[in-house]
Amino acid sequence: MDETENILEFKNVQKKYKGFALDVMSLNLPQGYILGLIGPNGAGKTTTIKILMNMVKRDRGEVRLFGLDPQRNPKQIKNRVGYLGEEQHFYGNKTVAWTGNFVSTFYDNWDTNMFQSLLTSFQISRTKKTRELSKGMKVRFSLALALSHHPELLILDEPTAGLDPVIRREVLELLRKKSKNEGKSVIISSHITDDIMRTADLVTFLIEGKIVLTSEKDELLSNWKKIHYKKGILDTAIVKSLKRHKDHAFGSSGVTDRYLEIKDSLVQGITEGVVKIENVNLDDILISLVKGA
Amino acid sequence: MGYFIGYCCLILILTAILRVTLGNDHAVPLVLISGILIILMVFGPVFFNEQYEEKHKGYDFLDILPVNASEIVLAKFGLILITVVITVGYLLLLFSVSKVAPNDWNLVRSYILMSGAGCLFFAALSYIGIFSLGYTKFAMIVMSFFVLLGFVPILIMKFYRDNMDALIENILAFLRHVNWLAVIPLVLTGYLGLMFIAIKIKE
Repeated sequence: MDETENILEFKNVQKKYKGFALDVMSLNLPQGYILGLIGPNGAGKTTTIKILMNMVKRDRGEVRLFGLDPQRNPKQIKNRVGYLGEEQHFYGNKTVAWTGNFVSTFYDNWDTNMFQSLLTSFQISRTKKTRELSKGMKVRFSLALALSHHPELLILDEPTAGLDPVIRREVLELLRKKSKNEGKSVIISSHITDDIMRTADLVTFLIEGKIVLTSEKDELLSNWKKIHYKKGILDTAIVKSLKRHKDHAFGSSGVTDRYLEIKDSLVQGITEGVVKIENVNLDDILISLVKGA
Repeated sequence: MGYFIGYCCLILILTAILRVTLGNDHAVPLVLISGILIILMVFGPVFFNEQYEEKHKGYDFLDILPVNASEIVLAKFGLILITVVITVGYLLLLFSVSKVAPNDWNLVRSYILMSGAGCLFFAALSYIGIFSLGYTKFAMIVMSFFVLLGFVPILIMKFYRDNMDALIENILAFLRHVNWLAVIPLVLTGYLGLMFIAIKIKE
């Protein structure tokens, strides 16, 4: 990763609820990157995002977004952020045009032409009442609202939940384009790891309120592999380090998180056909992290 | 906002029609009705408005926009203040052109101003309640309060049965002698104080 300025910094942030505590020691996002927040339901993804948007007040710790504290400068920050939540709330009896006009009054940098062009490309009728929009249309409309003030950072909390695969792919493609072509930073949270796989540059796993792993996606996928091997072939230290270790009738298998480190010691086994390496996806990594060794 | 403007217009039009049709002979009921209409401004537009916000999750929508909670509260309190000032001002103007004896004019003015102050006070308390407890819970409490309020006339009748005339006379005397030049700044200060409490809660 290049030495780029961080637009987001979390330090020792804590938020306690009854029966749940978010405890984020460190989380950074360099400009122009897409950060994927992965975690099971209730892991603290939404709380983390809501702290950023000042929708939830942290108990302690430090948060900086564009160098500003969201609690002290919520207005300035929201002016530079496009937010898309899991649920989209609008005044249902108002039209798309009215809502766009209403929202535009709050932003310093609102681009009416861009909003109109996004509505056209998303095929959203301006005269339709927002309650008449389908779930997919609401997400598209929210995205149009979130993008029309040229935000420097897009924050998306489970944006594709409940969407059909076509719209899901379309939304993710748009995000990818915005990041690549316009250098926008994106934070996307999801428990659908496929979304993160398609879009993110950086991946952070959040489990039970704690960040258990942060890495560049490509590096992560290079280091995490599933190893199938015949018993007695692998070094004991390697076997002990494997996660989700299983013995089968034809051998054993497990997941390693330091493949590049142990790669050389596996070469002979791979050549002899007694060791096989299988790529894992983010789902496998999440399950390994949740279920432990 | 539409609710406030609509309700304000309704009061203005209704009282004007009543004033023209009833004439001076029915000035007392007209004054009484006007005061009640002002007070009802809280339970009409404030509650309708908040019910609307609750139904559409308006505050969740506003939460993602670059607007401070203080600005939202300020807008709501400002709107009520403007509406009350317009309504009270209009009613005072309406009654001032009526043929009212100077002594009774004091009473009418006090009653209208008192209704305006009451409206501001209840509106501010309502917003504090809604921001603290949420609309649904607070609306339930208000409804229970109204049920209990129904017993107040019965209690008054019971305790003041023999002194009812004296009680009414005392109230009228109090209204006649209220120094509004001193009370208006006090009411506005109290209203602003409650607004700051509402802002703290909303934040």
